[in-house]
Amino acid sequence: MGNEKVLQVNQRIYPLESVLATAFVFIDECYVFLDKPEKNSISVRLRGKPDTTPEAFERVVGEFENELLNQTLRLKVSKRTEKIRDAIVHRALYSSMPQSMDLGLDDDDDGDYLDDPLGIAVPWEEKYSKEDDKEGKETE
Amino acid sequence: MALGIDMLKGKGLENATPFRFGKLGDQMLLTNEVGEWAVLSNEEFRQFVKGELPEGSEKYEELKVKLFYRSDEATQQLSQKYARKNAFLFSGPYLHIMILTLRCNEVCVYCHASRRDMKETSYDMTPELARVTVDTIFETPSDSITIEFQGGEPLVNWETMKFVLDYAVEKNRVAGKQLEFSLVTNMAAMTDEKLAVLMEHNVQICTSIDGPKEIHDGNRHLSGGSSYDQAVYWIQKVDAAYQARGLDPDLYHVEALLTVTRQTLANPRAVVDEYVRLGRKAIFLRPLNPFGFAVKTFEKIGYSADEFLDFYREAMDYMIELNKQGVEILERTAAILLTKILTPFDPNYLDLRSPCGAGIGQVAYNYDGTVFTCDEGRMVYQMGDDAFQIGTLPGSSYKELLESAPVKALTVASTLEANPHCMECVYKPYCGVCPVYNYAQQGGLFGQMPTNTRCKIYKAVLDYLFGHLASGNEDLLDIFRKWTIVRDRSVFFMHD
Amino acid sequence: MTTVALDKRFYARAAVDETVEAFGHLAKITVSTTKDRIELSFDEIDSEVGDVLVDEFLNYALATTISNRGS
Repeated sequence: MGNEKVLQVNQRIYPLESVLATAFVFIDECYVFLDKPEKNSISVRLRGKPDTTPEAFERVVGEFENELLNQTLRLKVSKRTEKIRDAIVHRALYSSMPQSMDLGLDDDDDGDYLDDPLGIAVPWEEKYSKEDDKEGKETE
Repeated sequence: MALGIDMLKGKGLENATPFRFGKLGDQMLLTNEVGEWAVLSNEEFRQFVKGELPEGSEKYEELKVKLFYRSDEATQQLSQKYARKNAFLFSGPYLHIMILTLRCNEVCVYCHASRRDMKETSYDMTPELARVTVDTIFETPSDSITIEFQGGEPLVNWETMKFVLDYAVEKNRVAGKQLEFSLVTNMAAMTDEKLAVLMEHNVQICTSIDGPKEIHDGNRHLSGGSSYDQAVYWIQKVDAAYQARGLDPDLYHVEALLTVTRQTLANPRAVVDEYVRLGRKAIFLRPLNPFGFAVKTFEKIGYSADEFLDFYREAMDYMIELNKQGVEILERTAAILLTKILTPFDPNYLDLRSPCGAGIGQVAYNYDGTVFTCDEGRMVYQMGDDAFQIGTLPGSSYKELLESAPVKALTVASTLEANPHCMECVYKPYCGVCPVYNYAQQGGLFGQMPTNTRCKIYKAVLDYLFGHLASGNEDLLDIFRKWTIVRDRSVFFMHD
Repeated sequence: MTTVALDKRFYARAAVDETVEAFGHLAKITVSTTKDRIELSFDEIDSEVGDVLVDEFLNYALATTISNRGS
């Protein structure tokens, strides 16, 4: 296959979250396939889409590597600033909330704000999680 | 210098407040939770992350003033600004869209599946249902109520519109809210008598102008006449009526809405010129939404995100050029985003906030009593899917509407912190997602942003704006600042 | 017939099922699972789509897995 590159990503430097976030960003640019041939390493296979020129594909690969670093840094920023972000948001919301805030709703709902009887907000993963580890065979 | 692995070991983050970053050309854009932003060279960014930006340097001081460095004072200021930017969280729905009828006197190439012929009066909202609807609207805890009349063509159900105008004013004598009315109309059914009543009730009037006459008439067919001529005739009359009431015509005039079709794409300058010629001060350049089109229709009038963006950028370049020559014309999407970027306020545009306004900022009341999270949700219903219906009037209480499953689901799905791509996006402080759009385009409320057309368009628009802002061109900044000025709307409030 | 084995650490079964649903009309897709892997086989691939189907399938499955993790 012409436009194809396999990157071996060191997980000690780039955690799984960063690899997944980076893969997600590039879904529209190229085909991404992840595998884990050995401990502490993720194999990322990038394949050009049918109309991608070799030059464009090279650029995508370079951008993918840069984005991997960006995503790892973002993760780090997020973790290092998590507490202060919470403090800012809590203080802001607490100070803004009217003393007698009443949205016209009873507040005796006992935290059911995520009730979703129609299942609209339920991710597929959760909906079908029972089948996740099940071994078996199905045909579509 | 490109980013390097050494940055991952930097100490700078210990002194930083929460921030996001992203590439802007060959520079790096930083934003924080309250919308402050700074543009750094890659080397400056590396130094910032590693904690090596020299104290006292220009960039260090800029980042400090913009609250990117940690201190008690910074935390306090960030909290205050965050509260102001998110003030909309503490009021209930203020925008109440009443679909007075599905009947319409025009046939438009982009019209959604819901349009009905003029003789089909069973698609009108009755005054009895309108009364129940207004009663429900007044249960909102929000201090402000805007009742927006939509259709079909709302003016063709004049009896009910007139009833709502009078009844809402009467109810507000007791409620004492900031009550406003707006009307989205093609003007073809306007008369002097109706206009007099609308003016008496301070109704803000919006209409459609799709560009020069040939494009407008090509998009919107009015039996026995020109839809363009009708719209332009009444725009002038309504503007004159505003003026007669002593309102500044620069600020108060008919707002015109543009629907961009494939036919518009080749003519960005002609469209802008047409708006300027008609004395409009703003153009709202929005792409077609994906609701309710037959595949064939979309093939004829639709376009790709890239095609729209080429059109958008050319129109924007031209508007900036005109502004430099002293012509006042702004682009509404840019103005909304610039208000978020350059001012401490959020304009509370319901489509670009987190969470979005569905159910908690707006509610759409259909002609038949069905109630929806938003007008987009209502459009999905007209396509045969009631996923976003939150109740029926008469019958549903206000509490039931707001506590309904779709409102909760859309609130969760449009909270950017819940979206893996948006959460880390440098444009998060200015953006918002539309779960109904995601549902219609991608089959799920959360959507997949890397392949999401709406995301691609907003990102590109923000790239465009920040590209200009980063240039530091003062003339341009002055123009953009002018675009953020929010007009005083109090003249539209209905008082006793 | 084309076969692919997906590592469960990267691909969720629910996301794969969703993908099968989306692509099922373009090929006969068989799914089976072992302790660590989700094994796929593609047969009778729509000739108009061709080889690209498997790559598109994998992208869709990965994006869906990641989306669902976030939400």
